[in-house]
Amino acid sequence: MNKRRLKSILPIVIGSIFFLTFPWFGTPWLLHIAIVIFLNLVLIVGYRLLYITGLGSFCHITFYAIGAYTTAILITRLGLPFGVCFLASGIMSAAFAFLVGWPAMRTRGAYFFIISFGFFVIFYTILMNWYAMTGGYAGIKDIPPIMGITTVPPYYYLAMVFCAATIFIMYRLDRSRYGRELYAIGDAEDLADVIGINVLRHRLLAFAIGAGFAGFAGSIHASYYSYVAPASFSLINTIIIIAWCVIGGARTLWGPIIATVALTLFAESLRLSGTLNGILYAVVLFIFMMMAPHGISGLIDTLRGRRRRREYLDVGTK
Amino acid sequence: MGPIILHGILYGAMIALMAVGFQLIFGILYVVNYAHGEMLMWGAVATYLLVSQVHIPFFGAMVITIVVIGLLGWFFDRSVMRRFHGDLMGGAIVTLALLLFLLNAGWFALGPRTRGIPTVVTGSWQVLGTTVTGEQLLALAVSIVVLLGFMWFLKYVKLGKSMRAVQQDSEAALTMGINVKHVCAVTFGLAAALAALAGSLMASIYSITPAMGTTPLILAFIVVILGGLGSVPGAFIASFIIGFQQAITDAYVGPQWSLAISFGLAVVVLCLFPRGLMGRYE
Amino acid sequence: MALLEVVKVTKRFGGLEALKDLDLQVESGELAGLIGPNGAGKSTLFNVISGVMRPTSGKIFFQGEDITGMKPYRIAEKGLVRTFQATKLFMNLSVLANVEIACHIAAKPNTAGEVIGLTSVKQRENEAQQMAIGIVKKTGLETVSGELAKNLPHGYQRALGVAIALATRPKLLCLDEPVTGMNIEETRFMTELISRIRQEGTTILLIEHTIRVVMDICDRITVVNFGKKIAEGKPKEIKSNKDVIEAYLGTEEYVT
Repeated sequence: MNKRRLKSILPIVIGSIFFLTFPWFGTPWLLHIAIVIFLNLVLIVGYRLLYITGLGSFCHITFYAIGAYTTAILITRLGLPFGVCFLASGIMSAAFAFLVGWPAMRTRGAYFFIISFGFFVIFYTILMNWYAMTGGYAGIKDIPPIMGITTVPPYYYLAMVFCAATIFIMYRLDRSRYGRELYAIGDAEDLADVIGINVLRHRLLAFAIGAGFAGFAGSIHASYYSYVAPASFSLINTIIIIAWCVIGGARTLWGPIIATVALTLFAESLRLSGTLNGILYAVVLFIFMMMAPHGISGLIDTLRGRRRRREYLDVGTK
Repeated sequence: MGPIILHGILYGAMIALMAVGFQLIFGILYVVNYAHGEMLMWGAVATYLLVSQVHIPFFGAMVITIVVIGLLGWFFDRSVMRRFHGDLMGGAIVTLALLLFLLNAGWFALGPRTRGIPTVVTGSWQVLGTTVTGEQLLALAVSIVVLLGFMWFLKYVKLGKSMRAVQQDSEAALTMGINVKHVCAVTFGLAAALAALAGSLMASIYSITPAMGTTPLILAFIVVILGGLGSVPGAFIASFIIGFQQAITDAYVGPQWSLAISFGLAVVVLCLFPRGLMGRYE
Repeated sequence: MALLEVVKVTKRFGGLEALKDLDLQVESGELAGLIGPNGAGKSTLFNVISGVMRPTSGKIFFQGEDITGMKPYRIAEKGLVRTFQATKLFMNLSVLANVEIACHIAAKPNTAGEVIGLTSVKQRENEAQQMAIGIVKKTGLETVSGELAKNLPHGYQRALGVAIALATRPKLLCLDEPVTGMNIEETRFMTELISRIRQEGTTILLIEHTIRVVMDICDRITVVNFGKKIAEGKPKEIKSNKDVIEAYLGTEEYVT
């Protein structure tokens, strides 16, 4: 095995060993944080897929909620096994994405922003008010654990495997022709249109894929926490996802990943009140939008002087 | 029947105050202002605080609120929004951050209890078999006057005409010697002031909570879908249509579902008319 | 049957009539020119032909098929591709990547295969890359093939725009003011390129308001003013056409 391959494989091997053995040396709190991070990572890489085409949805958290509630309702009402609920959650979220995305993306981009935010608010309202189905403000409690398992490590491994699979898929999509066409749409939508790229279909698909993964993640969320309530899927949560994207720098895959990990750790450690949390995020978003709209990955690349020479893929605000 | 007409017109007028400003921000700055609802909320909250903490009579409080929020809006555009004119995505994120900030600042200032302003105008009248309170009449009168005045402003006053010119074609307006950046800042300030006015008036009628901005924002969105992006007359008409629809569903289905129904209708409309009912943009 | 047939197309914007009852034909294999003073409606016609806008009335036929009102990507699939007057490129990709994207579009995608990493997919990728390299050479962009599009000098950017359109292997290539704003050398380079493309069998429809260029290379020229066709014919005929001279009178664009 030559040196170069060793160099690129080594971090993966070390990282894998670290993550696989983590439950042995990690504290319960750290284990919990890890699960939260894994789920958040699925959210951000799914969100990013549409974002790179120039449309940032404001309802990503809603797809997470749809997945969580679908599983919650199916398990508590119909007693279906987790595997079925898991699949159903992803499918439900993806279906809603098509339903909402189609009218929203057909013409001007502004309608998409309007509809996606509206969808978020309306769904939240439904969660709060349709007591019979969703349990209203209190939500749904006592969701039975997967296969009766009540210890945390199995959930850790489930979340880890799912997260790794998602990131892998996104990584490959990123490099695929479809991925490159997504970047092209974000770069010059009109040009993409007239050379034969079906912009609407590409975007709808990206939206649905991201939503689907969010739905799957929501399913795991429901089983792990064993309750679902609207408060976990509120305005601040959807904005946080966008913040991860902006702060990390949507043009790379690793940027938002690092931002998500760092910010989640930070937020969970500080345990600020909701209000303070919100204000902090608002200020940080302002600062980044004004000074570093391409996020951390953009800053790093500027520092390295890479922005001029090498080919790479720029997305986000122009 | 009577109450529905009353509430329909009242809602319609309040929504129109919101929607017209929102449309202008979109038409002139090409930005979707997510914080518009919070501007309304702060109109209400500021008025409340001035009345209850500083003991300024309502009208004075209202005027101060509108002027201050208008100026803050103008300032916000000049300092922050400026670089996002024309940038739909970036502008959306910035206004979203503003929403977050204003919303949480509202929670901070007000705390969890809902508040209310003591009676502003005493007395109530019977009109067409419905009870109209003094505050409702006031809100109606003020908002209609302001709306008509604003329409007149857009049509006949130089600044208003400049705004319309920029909305039509900002490049052409530039060549005509119009200071587009200045117009943008003024637009933002005026829109904020209008939203604050609506909030202020609402404060005299309804209860005040930091969450009160979300529904008006969605209603502005819905108006935009029905009236077409960037069309001010369309916004005007659509506002009253939605106002009446809200009044009707409030009475027959229940207020918590009104918004969802409005939104559902708007989505259906968008499916059938991808450019909105009166959309002007290609 | 003409490759492209524009039949009585009218386009109204609010009160303004940008195109009025316009007829136009482009025969297969020819290099057709469309000229007219600024604001005559040339770009609007392009927008209507390429599907970016719908005509208010009238029809457009491509290869005998009615493409009126079709979405731009479908029209591109059928073989009608256009460039833009304001340079639209994938700014943050390299020159080669820009062309590659267009090359790929002709091939059928197999995204699942790409995600997994199938060899046949990789093979098709290499083919596309070879094709892209070929086009980059043909349009004279080899020296800058690794540069990001946004760093290119203006002339190269225009050439890249043409290269991208070329990469889709169009049957009809619509060039929107390819030499406007270029210096003499750049103009010569571009006109040579256009002639070469035409020689290789691509039909071209060219918009310009610099008349000299159009006179030099086009087989047939249509002249529009105020959205209406005012003349049509070979360059020699157009040069001495009274209406054309009048339309350009007072503008500095007309060069004998």
